[in-house]
Parts: sequence; C-alpha cells; structure tokens
Amino acid sequence: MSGPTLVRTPGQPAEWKRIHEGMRKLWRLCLADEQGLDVARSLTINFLGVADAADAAALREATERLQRRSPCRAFLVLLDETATPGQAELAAVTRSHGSTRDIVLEEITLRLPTSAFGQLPGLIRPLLMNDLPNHLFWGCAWPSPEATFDAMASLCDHVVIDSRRFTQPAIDLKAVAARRAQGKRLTDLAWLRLRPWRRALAEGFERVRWQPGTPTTVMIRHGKQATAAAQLLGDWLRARLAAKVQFDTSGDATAPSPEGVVINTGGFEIELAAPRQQIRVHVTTPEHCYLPFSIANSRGQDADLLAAAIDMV
Amino acid sequence: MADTTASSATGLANPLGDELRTTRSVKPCVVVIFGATGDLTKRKLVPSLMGLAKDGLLPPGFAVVGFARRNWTDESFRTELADGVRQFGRPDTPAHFDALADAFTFHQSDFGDRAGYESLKAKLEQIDRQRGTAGNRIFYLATPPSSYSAILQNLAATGLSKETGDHFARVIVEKPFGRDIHTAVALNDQVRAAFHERQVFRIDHYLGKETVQNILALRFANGIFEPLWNEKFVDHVQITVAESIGVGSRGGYFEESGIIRDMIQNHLMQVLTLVAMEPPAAITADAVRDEKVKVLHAIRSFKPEEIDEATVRAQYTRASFGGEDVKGYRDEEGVPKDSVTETYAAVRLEINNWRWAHTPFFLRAGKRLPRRVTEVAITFKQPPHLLFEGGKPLQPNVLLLRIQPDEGVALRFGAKVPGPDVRIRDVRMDFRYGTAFGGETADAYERLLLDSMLGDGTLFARADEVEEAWRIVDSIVNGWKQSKRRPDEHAAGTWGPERADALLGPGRSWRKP
Repeated sequence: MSGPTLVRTPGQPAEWKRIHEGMRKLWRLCLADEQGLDVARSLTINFLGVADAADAAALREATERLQRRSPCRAFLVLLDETATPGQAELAAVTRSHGSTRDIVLEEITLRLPTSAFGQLPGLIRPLLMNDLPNHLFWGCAWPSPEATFDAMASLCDHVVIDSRRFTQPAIDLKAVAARRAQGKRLTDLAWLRLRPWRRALAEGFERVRWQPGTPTTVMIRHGKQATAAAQLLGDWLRARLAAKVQFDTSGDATAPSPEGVVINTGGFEIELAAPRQQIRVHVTTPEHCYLPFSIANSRGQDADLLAAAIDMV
Repeated sequence: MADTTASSATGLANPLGDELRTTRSVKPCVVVIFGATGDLTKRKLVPSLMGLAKDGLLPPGFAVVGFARRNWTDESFRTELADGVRQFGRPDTPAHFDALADAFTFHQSDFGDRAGYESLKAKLEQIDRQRGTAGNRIFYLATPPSSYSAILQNLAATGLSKETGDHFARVIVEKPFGRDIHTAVALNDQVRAAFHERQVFRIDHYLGKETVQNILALRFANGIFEPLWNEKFVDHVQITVAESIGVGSRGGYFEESGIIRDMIQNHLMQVLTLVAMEPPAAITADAVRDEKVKVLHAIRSFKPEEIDEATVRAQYTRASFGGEDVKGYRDEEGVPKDSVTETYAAVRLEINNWRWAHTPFFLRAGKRLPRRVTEVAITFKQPPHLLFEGGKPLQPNVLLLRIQPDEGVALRFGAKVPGPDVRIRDVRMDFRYGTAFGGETADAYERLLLDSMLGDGTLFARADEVEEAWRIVDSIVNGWKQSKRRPDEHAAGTWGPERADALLGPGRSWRKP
C-alpha cells in the first residue's frame, strides 16, 4: 500500500491587508482537484516561526516536518534588514491518502526588517485560527531589544527556543529563566538535544551507590556551539548532585552537544564520551570496572526536535 | 569491603533516575524467542524491536536469543532477520539492525529437550556478563500452542522462570489461549505452574492498536461522553470486525476454529470490555483489567434454547466480488463439503449491570464481507419529543469509533437543510487520526513488546478475562451444536445473511460501514 502524497501549491503573493482573500484563493486552488477527491481541512495548531532570512530553508523544512505530526497554519517570519514590509507569500500543502485529501499546512511567509517587528502582533492576531493552541519557535539569537520576543511570545501559549543560537549564553539563559519564572511555557531545543546525555548519565548512576552529600566534581568538555548546552547540563548536575562543575571549552567548535563528561564522586567515576553518533559510558567503582555501554547520541534533526517539543505540550 | 554497586538494588535513589522514568526506559534484558525460525519472528517481532531501537526505546544492555529446532547458525539467523527487517520494518530500521546484529544469537534445541534449556541458561549468563543484560529475561512463545507445555515445564525445571532479587523473568504467550474454557483453564494452569500471573503477558495484538487504546482516552479524558455512556441515552452498540478476504490457504485451521474462536472470543470481546467497562481507579494493569472482567461477569451465558434467537451464523457462498469470481467457503481448500463452521457470526449480548441493562451490544464478525473494517458504533436514543418533519423519527445520532482503516472518531447528527422549509439531514463531524497526528504510527507489536519489557500488563489479557470470555463463547458454540438450524448463507461480498437483521429488533439496522 502506498503512503500519503504531499502536494505543495505554488507560492501566491499577497499584500498584508489582503492575506484573508489570498487564503481563500489558496483554498480554491486546493479544491481545483483533478482526481475527484474530497478535500478536508483539519488543522491542529497555529505555528509562528521566527528565523534569520539566511535560515529560511531550514525553517521551511522544519515546518514541513512539523505538519506531518501537527497539521498547522504557519506564519514564517524571516528577519531581513533589506526587506520592505507589506508583502506576504502564501502557500498550502495537501496530503492525499486513499480517497481523501487534507489541507495540512497553510503557510504565510512574512519577510521584514527588525524595525517592522512592532507591526507583527496586530497583523497575525486576526489571522490565528480560533481555539487552536499557538506555538512560537524563536529560531534565532536572543533579541535585543527583548520586546520583539515578548511581543511575539504574548500571542502564544508555548514558546520553543534554541539556546544554541544565543550569542551570550550566560546572560541570555538568565533572561529565558526570568520569563519561565513569570509563568511562560518555554521549551529549549538545546535541552532536548541533551536528552541522550541525561539518560546516559542516569543509566551510569544505576550502576553505582550514590549518597547525597558526597563531594562530587563534574568536568564537561564542549566547543563553542555547545556552550549553552554545556551550561544547561552543568546547572542540572549542580542542582541534582550539589556538584562542583567545571568546563573545558577546547572541544569541536561546531558540535551542537558536549563532547564528554566526567563525574567523580565517592570513589566512583562515570565517564561519557561521544565518538560518532554514540555516547559511550564507562563506569568504574572501587570494585568493578563495568563493560562500557552505548546510547544513540542524537534522535533526529532539529526539525524532529521541534516537532517533539510541540508534541510534549 | 561493603558492596558499593547498583544504587537501584540497594534502595538508594538514583539522583538522576527521573530521566529514566520520563522516557519509559526499559531495564537491560534478553528476549528469548521460542520458535524463532517462524514467520512471526521475521515479520513482526524483530521488525518491531528495531522500531523500538529507532525510537531510542531499547535499553543499552539488550540481546535476543532465537530458540528453535532448525539447525541454523548465528549468521544464518541474523541474515534471515535482516531480510525480515528490510521487508517488514519501518523506514531506517535496517540500519539499526545492522548496528545491533551481534546482539542476536541462535540456540538450537528441541522444545522438549531439557539439556537445551540447561545450555540456554549458561548462554544467558554469558550474555549477562558480556552485554550487561543484568539477569532479566523475557521468554516469547512464538510457537504453536502444542509446544507450550514442554517449554513451560522446562523453563520451570531449569529455574529460568524464577525471579530473584530485582531480576525479572516474564513470559509472553500468543493467542489462541485455548479453544474452549477447559483448554484455556488447562493452559492457564500450565503457565501458572511455571510463572506467577504478574509475570505473564498474553498478547492480543488488537490491544496494541492506538485506536483501541483511544477508546479509553475518548471515554475518560473527555467530560462530554461519559455522562451519555449508559442505558439512559444509548439505544444499542454495534461492534464490527469485517474482513474482505476469505480463508484462503488457512481452510484447515479455520474449519477447527470458526469466526467465533478466531475473532469474537478475543478481539471483539476485548473491544467490548473497553467500551462497556466502568472507569478504573487508575490506568494500571490490575485496575483496568478488574473493570474489564466485571463486564464479562455481567454477561450471562446462553441457554441452548435461546441460541437461534440471540445469534446468527452463516457461511459465505460463491459470488462475483470485487471484479472476480470468488469461491464459497465450502469450496475452499481444506474445508469439507458438509462443513457447518461459521465464517460469519452476529451475537446479541446483554450486559446485566446498572449501566447497560436494556442496551444490547451487537457483535458481528465475518470473512468475505464487502470491506475490511473494524469499528464500534454507539447509537443514541431518539430525542423524547420529535418536533421536525411532522414528528417522523429521524436518523439516530451515532458516535463512531473507527479502529481500522481510516482510524478516527465521527459523530453523526441532524442539521437543518438551508432553505425556507425546516428539513433535517444527517451530517457527520469527523476526526481522523492520520489527519490530526500524521506521521508513522508504531505497529501494535512495538507497543506490546515495550510494555512487556516495562512490566506493564495493562494491554494484555489476564487469565480470568480469557476464561470469562470462553465461558460466554462456549455457551454459543454449545448452543449451535445442539441447534437443528444449519448455518445461513450469504453471498461473498455482502454484509451477511438476511436473518441477521431480525437480530437487531425493530427500528434498528446493521451499519454498512
């Protein structure tokens, strides 16, 4: 049996004030069906994605991946300092399966300079589909001024960030923590990327007898791209183990996750290294040197992590 | 020196342990598959294990031992499994099999040979040392039921079925769980002689389907349905499992079981209990299964003299169906010309409890019906006063739970046709799983294998459930044996014999899904 077929309409330009009409034209385009299939529309979320124009292809790919799990109306906001605000591009994706065809993605792309950001909430709010959860993906550096982020976040029930993109992780993560403390629901892709590391560490602790209060040191080796991730991991271990955490920043600058972790506590050593796509765990106690075990390092691409982040809410 | 290892064994909490719980992590273990050279292993079990590997759900310490009579080697076993994963696995799973191939080994032995189990035990201990599988074992009986007895006796005799410390030993049993209540009780006794009930996982793959589990979610995660889910508002319930294929080359097997043993005793009864049960106190194995068993207890066995009124059985006959001329059941290979085995059965069940008194449940299953479909239709009563169209009865509201294909939920209700008159027409509000959630759905076996590794028996049949279902089904089978009426006939590709309509009573009709 063949799987579903996805068909994307050609992009349709529309002035900002005519986006509603443009969407109706798009639906007619989807209904102009040569195969005599029934067309239904069953969207489950509103998705707002913000990225630098240079990352437009990645954002679009993430949105395409997202609609496979959560059919959505997507607003793709591309930050382009050379763009003139006022024009949108509209497209839709339909999915055919058996005798049915569904509109699974309605995509509204808005290209604008940072200075026009203030117009976005007023533009987007009336276009959000009623009674659906709104998710924001902030796929660029932490903004300055922060009001641009807050304006978009105020439209949404849930915000996904990727602190890997932060330019000053130590400061920017504090700003994120402050918003979380105010009750904003935030998910960090860098934290999700660490899931295999957290699981590997937890599996390591299954093999030792650890007592609270035991002096514990942690060394995390990472490169530049993983600075925020290393900090998140370090904060977590500090909170759980009351550990003294140190960082070795000599790792591969382009790796998105840490490259190694060593924990020494009460005579035990748990050492994690990341050769290729694996995290290899060595556990040594005063009596035993266990055979190492491995855990897959990464589960999918950023687009999959984004879909997982939205699924979790 | 004091033992300083294994925080979980000493009762000291793992300071990072919640990471393992939130990802439904499985403890290291070995899965031993008896009958590993059979189709089930190649088509379902190993592709499903690789689906779990793809989703990162297998534990770091993991191994599979294939146990069978054939003289295979580790290498030929792996080659066969790799082929199975390529043909029947989810996309990308072959790469996971390649990475894990050395975790699969083959153990050649007869199921009745004690020495084979002693050497299996030694092999498992060696795997524990090499792969960190920590003494945890799952024994999967993927053999014909005739081999169960020998396997279970030998597992007990060699101590392999025993749980020590926090090491687990579990057994997974494939249906059929007997062919009547006597054989089911005998099988349960055999299983319990080797394993405690909490170690036993009886697989009915229907319970692993997302849409079957969604019956519980729909009922108990929403406030709007449960107040209506009773005899005050529900007129009747129809549960249908229809197949468009005939018995094909399984004529010999089918002749011995019939549709009632093949479908109704297990799949339909499981779905029925989920639809009719009371809310459990928690979604835990025993809380859910206690409530399911109560439903079966509330269904009374049939007396022989009631059977022709409360059931209909039939066989499909030769007809042109789907553009081809298809055989009738009695013309199929391995089927005697004077067979009275039913290929279609419809049953009216009364659940004698507070919630469902006077609301009949109609169960229907058949081969060579027009479409392959499984669904539950909850048909609601008419409004108390009919205002429209001169007081003429309207089509009843129907809440439809579609289990396969086009998995989803639909609600049928009346709406005003636009225009100057007040005319009511049926419309349908439709939720489809594929549309709302998209993506690939894991095979039912994936879910069930994972749950067995986690020790969660919620989606597995318990001994008392199986026995209660047989009590009801046996009363039907015995009634048919004593009845003078031969099975009715229906042309292949139709929705069953005419007499089945009378079963429903006035004002009701079978759905034609």
